[in-house]
Amino acid sequence: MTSEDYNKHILPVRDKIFRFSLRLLSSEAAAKDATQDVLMKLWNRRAKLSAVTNVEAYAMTMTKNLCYDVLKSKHHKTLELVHNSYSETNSGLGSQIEARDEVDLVKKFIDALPEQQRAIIQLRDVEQFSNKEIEDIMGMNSTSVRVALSRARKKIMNELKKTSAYGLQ
Amino acid sequence: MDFSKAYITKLLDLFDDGETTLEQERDLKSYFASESYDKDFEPYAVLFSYFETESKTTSQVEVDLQSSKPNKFLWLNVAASIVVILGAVWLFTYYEKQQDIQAARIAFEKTQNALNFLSYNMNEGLEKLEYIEVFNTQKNKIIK
Repeated sequence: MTSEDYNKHILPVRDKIFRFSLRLLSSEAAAKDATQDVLMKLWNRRAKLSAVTNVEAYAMTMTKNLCYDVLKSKHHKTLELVHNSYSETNSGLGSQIEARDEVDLVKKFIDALPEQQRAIIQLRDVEQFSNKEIEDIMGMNSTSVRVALSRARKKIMNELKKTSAYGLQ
Repeated sequence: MDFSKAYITKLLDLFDDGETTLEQERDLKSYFASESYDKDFEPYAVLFSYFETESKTTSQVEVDLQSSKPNKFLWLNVAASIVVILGAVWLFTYYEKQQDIQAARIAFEKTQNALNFLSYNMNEGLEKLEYIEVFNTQKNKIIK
């Protein structure tokens, strides 16, 4: 794969990699670092990429693995920080008023989901990968992908219906 | 595109169960993208508009591949400079050796000149000795 091929095939995926890592890491700076890392790794592996049938899914798998590694290494260091952000989402009215824009609310609900569900929502509903691709990226079977997707969607919709019922949108 | 409310309700149920196909989700997206969606579905409209805006977020990450390309050439640069340095060292020692040989040649030529000069003078001295030879024979003729 030459650098022209690389520019043609990989750079369009750049935004997807960034959005996916932003969803998983919830920090723009960390997501940018992760995106850089993934792109560099893809560039270094460009010779082998011609053998990969679905470069996009391949890139997303790399992103997922990298973000999981970052989360794992971060977990014990920033436990307190994570805890803080959780208490903020749970503080109810205060944070909901803060998130005036209803679109921000959706973001909050998605961020409150477990890692795996967040990843699947991102891949399916934002990036519109097929279930088969998501199975490959996440290393899950079709049933667990569907179940996780359904759980995530139902949770978000429950929260959204609640807020609209309270007239807090 | 117009979709019936029943069709949308059915799709949303499937959507909640994670059973919609990508095509059906595209229908839902375009339905909620038009302003004429049924207000009963308001929470879903919020969700789909979120997905829509989210999918347009750009990274603004500038890929710094330029720095990796010179990295490839870095080794070439290092190799080239090593070759240049080795070449310079070799040239210097070669030049020094040539200088030594030159100096030796000059010393040899000077010595040769000096020896030539000496032997020339010696030969001149020998010519004068012939007179002594003549004198000797004459002397022997007289003094027997």
